[in-house]
Amino acid sequence: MTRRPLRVLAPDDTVRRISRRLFLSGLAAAGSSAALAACGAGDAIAPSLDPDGEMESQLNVYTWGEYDDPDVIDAFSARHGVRVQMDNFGSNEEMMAKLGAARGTSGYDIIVPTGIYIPMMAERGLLQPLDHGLLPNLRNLSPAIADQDWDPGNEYSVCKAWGTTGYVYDRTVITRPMTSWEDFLLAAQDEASGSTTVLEDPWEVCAIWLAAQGEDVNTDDPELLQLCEDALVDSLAPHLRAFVSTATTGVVQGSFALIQAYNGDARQALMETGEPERWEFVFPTPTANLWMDNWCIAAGTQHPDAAYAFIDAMLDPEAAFAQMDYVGYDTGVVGLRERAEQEELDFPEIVFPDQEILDRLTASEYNDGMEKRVIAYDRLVAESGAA
Amino acid sequence: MTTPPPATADEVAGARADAAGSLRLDRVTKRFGGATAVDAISLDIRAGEFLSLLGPSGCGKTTLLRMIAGFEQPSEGAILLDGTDITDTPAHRRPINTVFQSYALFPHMNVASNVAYGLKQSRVPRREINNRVREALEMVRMLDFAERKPVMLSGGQQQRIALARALVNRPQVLLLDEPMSALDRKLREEMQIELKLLQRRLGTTFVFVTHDQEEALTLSDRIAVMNGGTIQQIGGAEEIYARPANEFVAGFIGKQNFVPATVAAQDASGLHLDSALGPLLAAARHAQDAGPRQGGTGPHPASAVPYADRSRHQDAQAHTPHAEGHQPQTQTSPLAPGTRVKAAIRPEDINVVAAAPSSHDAAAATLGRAQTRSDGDVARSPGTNRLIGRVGAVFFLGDAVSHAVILPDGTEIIARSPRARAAQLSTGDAAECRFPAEAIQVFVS
Amino acid sequence: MRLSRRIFGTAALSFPTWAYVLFFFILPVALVVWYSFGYKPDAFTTHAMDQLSFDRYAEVMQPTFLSTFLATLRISVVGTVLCLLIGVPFAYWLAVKVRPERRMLLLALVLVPFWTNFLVRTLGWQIILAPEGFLSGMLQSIGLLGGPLDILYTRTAVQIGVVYNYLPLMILPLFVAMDRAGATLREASRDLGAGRWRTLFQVTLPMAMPGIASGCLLVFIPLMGDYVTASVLGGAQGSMVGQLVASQFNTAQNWALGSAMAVVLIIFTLAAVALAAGLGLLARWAFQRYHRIDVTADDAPDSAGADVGGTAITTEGASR
Repeated sequence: MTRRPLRVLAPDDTVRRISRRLFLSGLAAAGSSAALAACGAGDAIAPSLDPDGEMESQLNVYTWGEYDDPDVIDAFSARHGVRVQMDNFGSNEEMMAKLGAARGTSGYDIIVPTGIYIPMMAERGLLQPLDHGLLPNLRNLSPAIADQDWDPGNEYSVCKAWGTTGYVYDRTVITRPMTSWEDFLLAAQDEASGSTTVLEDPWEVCAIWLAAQGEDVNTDDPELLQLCEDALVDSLAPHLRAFVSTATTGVVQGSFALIQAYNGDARQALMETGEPERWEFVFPTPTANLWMDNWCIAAGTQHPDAAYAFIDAMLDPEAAFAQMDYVGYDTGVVGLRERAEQEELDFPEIVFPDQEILDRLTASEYNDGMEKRVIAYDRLVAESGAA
Repeated sequence: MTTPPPATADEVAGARADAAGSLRLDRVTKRFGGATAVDAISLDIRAGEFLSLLGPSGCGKTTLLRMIAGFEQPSEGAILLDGTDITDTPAHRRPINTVFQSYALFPHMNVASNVAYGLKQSRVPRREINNRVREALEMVRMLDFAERKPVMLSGGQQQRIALARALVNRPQVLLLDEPMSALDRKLREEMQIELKLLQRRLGTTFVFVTHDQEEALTLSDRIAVMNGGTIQQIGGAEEIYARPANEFVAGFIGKQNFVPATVAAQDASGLHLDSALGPLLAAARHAQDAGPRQGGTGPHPASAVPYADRSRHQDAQAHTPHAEGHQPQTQTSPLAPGTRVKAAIRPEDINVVAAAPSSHDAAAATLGRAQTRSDGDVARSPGTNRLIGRVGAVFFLGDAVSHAVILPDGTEIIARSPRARAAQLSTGDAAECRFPAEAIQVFVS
Repeated sequence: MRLSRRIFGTAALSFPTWAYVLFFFILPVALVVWYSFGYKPDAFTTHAMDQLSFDRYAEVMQPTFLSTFLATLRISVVGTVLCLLIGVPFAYWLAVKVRPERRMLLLALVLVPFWTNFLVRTLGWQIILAPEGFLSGMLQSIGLLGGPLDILYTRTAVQIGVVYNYLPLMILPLFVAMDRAGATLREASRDLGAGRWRTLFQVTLPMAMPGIASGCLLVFIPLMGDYVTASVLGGAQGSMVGQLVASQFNTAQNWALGSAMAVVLIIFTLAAVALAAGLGLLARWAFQRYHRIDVTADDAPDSAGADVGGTAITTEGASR
């Protein structure tokens, strides 16, 4: 795609921004026609090939943009003689729609869904159950990360990266101590009015208010969600500058003073700004999202041996460290934090939150409240645009 | 045919009274980069005159017109309108209007708005605009087309509108840039007549650019023949036709038979020339020197004695003192024997008759000086040149017949006779071309 | 029979045209209209057509969509007007003032940005307009700006990006139209007493009207559907309908709702164009009516001084 020339033409931070935000806004539409072509086929999923111990020469990976260290991929290719084709999607919905329409004929061997979508994909038969015997490096996965609620026993998935949500603020603008989502809302209406951004994600935006109120961030109570919508529209909308999926650009360009951000992106931003002491990242209380993206093997895979070899290779401590270093998110392989501190990696405390913080995080759920959150979010967007 | 109602005395007088419109060009020069398009032309155009600028393409006539209109700035020299210097007056402030070669009607306006355009610019009251536009359209008989868009009109109709659009402003001078070139022949001839009548009636000064000599001869009071950025000759139609100032004018206006020759002697009977066709006798010579300005193209013209009454046109010349430098000055300077010249004979000055078989067999050119032969049927007269050859082709031209006579050395002589007087000759017949000494014009080459 | 032959003959000859229109316009639009009556049954299916309804339209016609539509309309109208205000003098300069041998070079320069990816061009502006970008620094160092440039992620930024991205689409038809008017007509206008400005307003611009109209359409219509510029340069303000449509198709994978939004966008856009065209025609009609030269009424003889040549000239030949 256009990634190579972009690297040359635009600063690194811009590239990252493109990879997330613009894929999110739909530049990857080119693939949609495949789904169209598959319309009307039966419900049966094309059968996967079984691993036979003989490495295939090709592997097709469908993942988020700018989410893997090219050196790691190249090393895998060189070692196993497998040509790796990396395609990108911008949202879980996009990926699921494509796989759902293709019904096993998408050609993808490895996909990277966010955890909460795994149950419904598995139910649809879109995921190939994993043979742990072919993943010896699975033992490297931290027990705290393995065996999540949405995939007990890692039947379908292995953690690719995980992160949480917080916010970055400009200490020259906001001088008081900031610790909670309540602080976020107050600062947004005060010092950071007009220079506050939130994520382009309905769940995350609603979670700001729900968490600040001490409510369940995964609530599906329509009345509570209505309260949330009204509060966001009334108190947050007039002060929002933008909806941005990555903190990096905003910090580097100095456009914003208060930025809701994923921890890895926040770290990236702090690394790239010339004055890191000016910015501070907060893991806000009382809670925040704990999300996890996962390696899965797509049903209908034609390159199963290469797929297992690939996932196993990513669980290798060396590769895992390189991946963590590249994207700024923990891959869940044990010993990364220790090595990061040993090698004096920047801001390890942001990549590896303390246990105390980990304990209070909440994994987001895909439930009946989602539709209401989307409505609330759309209204927030419209109201802040009208301001 | 409907007879045009005669213009009332008032109209004519009124028109002429405010039709000042005399133009003076004073050493006007235009250079484009290194090329000189117009080379120090001085010219007086009288109020109410119909003057044509005639010349081949690239001769500078259009550039000269554009400088008068104000579309081009002269590199040097001045343009005066009724004595006022307008050289630096922008085009839109000059009381001069133009009829463009392409008519340049505004396609987004209807005919009436096109004609009203100029009046609107000078903020003429609405009611007067309506009246004047109506009258202008009546004048060119296009009133019924007032609401049409120009694209719906034929070429001739568009031309009338262009004319009305220019004249409605009552310009001091009307410039016409080859306005007939897009019309077919018949329509062109009709428009020429209309144009001439219109000009006579309005008394407006017309400066008319054309490369069509017939058109210029038909319409003009005076014609300025241009070539290479200079005026070669200026004068009335008959004058420049019958007494071309130089070889260029002689060749450009009408048809000519050019015969290279050498001066043998000059005596009382005339100028004796030797040519490949044999000896020729030209009438006693009135050598015309064009002066240094016209040296460019080489030939110094020698004109025959007056071959037609040109007194009127001589008159016309006298009225243009400013153009004197360009007028051939008449002087008598005998040409030395051995001078290389060109003899020019107009086709209509050559009489073609059937030649006696004997003379044909002899295939000898018979000569002006040795006019001792008797041909019985033709009255012999001193000073008549005779050339004998064979008819190569006969062209029936309607009102005239043209013969191409091939002489023994291969030279082709074109002769033209009125149909009634034309000899009954066919291709291959022996023929004799006769022309008097006065028909030969001699140009030093 | 002759009629049928004419129809089929014409159809055969114009095959490329109608095939193009059919396959690249009618079918895709028909498909979008069709999808707009469907629904999204689950996360794995973009649309289902087993139950047709207008429900998606009801979903679309919410205040959220409408206010975004109004914002889009505002950006598009302002963008089109700005493109026109910049494009007219530029195209005039290019068509009238620049020497013909240089025109092609300048026109090529206008088009150079088109050789670059739309997204990259727009991202360029993100870098330029950033508060800590070079433009901001430059403006501050020469004292034009007290603090950092504060327009990135605002409607102003979107407006700038939009004008930049669509200006060539305005300049090209304007240039062609003004070039077509030709030097001779301008000379004719000057010859008839109009100076440069009057010539511009009475000849050059009116003659360029078709070019102005097509330039406005070429800018306005794609602008109404643009989402890249707004995504890159816009923030909370300056979001556009195109982003909503794109996010339904790509992020939410709800083709039914996205299609309904697209159909509403198309209808509203066409309505806006029709309204503008109607107003334009009305204005032209009024203008022409006001400036009509009435040659029918034979007014009172105040025209004594207005007589050009008195009576008509008539000759035999010319009376045909």
